[in-house]
Amino acid sequence: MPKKLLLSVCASALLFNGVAKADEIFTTVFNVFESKKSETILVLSAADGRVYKTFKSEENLKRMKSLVGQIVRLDYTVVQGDEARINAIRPAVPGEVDPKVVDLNHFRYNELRLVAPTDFQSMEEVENIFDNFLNDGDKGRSECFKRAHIWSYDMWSKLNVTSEKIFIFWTKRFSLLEDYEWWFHVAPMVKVNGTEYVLDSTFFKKPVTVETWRNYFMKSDKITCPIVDKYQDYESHQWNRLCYLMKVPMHYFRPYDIEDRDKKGIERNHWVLDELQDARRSFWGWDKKYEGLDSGKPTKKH
Amino acid sequence: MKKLIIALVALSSMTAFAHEIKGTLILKGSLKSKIVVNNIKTTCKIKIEKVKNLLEEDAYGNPGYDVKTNISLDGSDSKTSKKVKYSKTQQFNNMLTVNGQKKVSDFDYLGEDGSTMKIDPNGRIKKVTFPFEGKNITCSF
Repeated sequence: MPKKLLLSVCASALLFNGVAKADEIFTTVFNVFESKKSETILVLSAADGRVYKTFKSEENLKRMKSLVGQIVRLDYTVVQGDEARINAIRPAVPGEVDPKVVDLNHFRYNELRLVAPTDFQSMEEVENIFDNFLNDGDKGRSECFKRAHIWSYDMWSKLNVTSEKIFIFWTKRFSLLEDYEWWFHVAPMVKVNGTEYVLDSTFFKKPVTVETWRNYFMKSDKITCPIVDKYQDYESHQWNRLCYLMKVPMHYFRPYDIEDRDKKGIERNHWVLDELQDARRSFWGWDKKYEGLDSGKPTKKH
Repeated sequence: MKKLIIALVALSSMTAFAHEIKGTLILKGSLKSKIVVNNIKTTCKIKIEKVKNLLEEDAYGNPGYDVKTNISLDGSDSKTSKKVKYSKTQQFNNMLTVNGQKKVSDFDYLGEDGSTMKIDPNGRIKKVTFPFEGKNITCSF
């Protein structure tokens, strides 16, 4: 073997051993999609929201598509970065995993699913997450609810962090008299030792308390913004308050989804792929970073 | 049963203490009325120039309004050549102090110099009282 090739093989082996990590997961295959960027097939796992990759071939695509909606055991290796390569995938054997015990599909409502926000032990951990948020710094490119949705999804799928979303709703009175063009703003929120911190990396350089976040947008520390549970509490009190705060599970995308919950009883504790497909466009390079979040249907515009 | 009634009465009286405004918005624009000042027929004009939120709440969470108002008097007596001239622009707000406590009112406003203004539930000005030459002038609409 030529010396150069030998060195190259050794270096590759070292590198591979240094970063590669094999693991397995029981999950529901939620979506299978042919990559347009690489010679891979993208498999969206509904248990953890991660996109797993496998080689592209007609036969493999057919096989992967046959697994859509099925509970599978998926063996994978994480290679450089956070790319997860499928080593093996097969339908789970009956009795191998209990869907009532293991939450296998976060793209479907599950009445047993708890969505309490993660309570961190140290501020440093949260600051670290915040610092690694995707942030183009371009507010004109996207709307806050889309950025908040992808941040929430990233935290959940990459770090297993359950966040909440905090909405601030401005009343007609505030919008009219202050000549303010927005009627709501939203950002993800987590807890640190029981205290809530808003992670709004478009407007802040670090996680901030709800009070700081609210005061920034109200331009005053003398306005309280009542925290309400129902959308109607905001909707029907447009003149005697300037703003309201609402805390909802991370899965709620738009204010209309909260309205649907409170008026029609449509609960959310699951992700909706069409919404993620739409939200991902908030960021530059979305087509590479979030290629797997694609339903194959035209992107919805809001 | 008696206890329950007492509890309900107590609860309803507690609710009565809660002070929640409607947030009546004062209408912009100007109003005129005729009055007599120093025996001179005078036009009293009130102009609401700008309405903003005070960005401050009372103890019940009610936010106040901040209203830029111009009050003017204009009158003259051709026989005596006496004139009444007055024009002042000032801020009014509806964050009043009642028994030492700040309380937002739907219908009552107080100006910087102690002038008062009353509006109706539709936001129309009903009455403005302001100091002029050592006495209070009231314009009604």
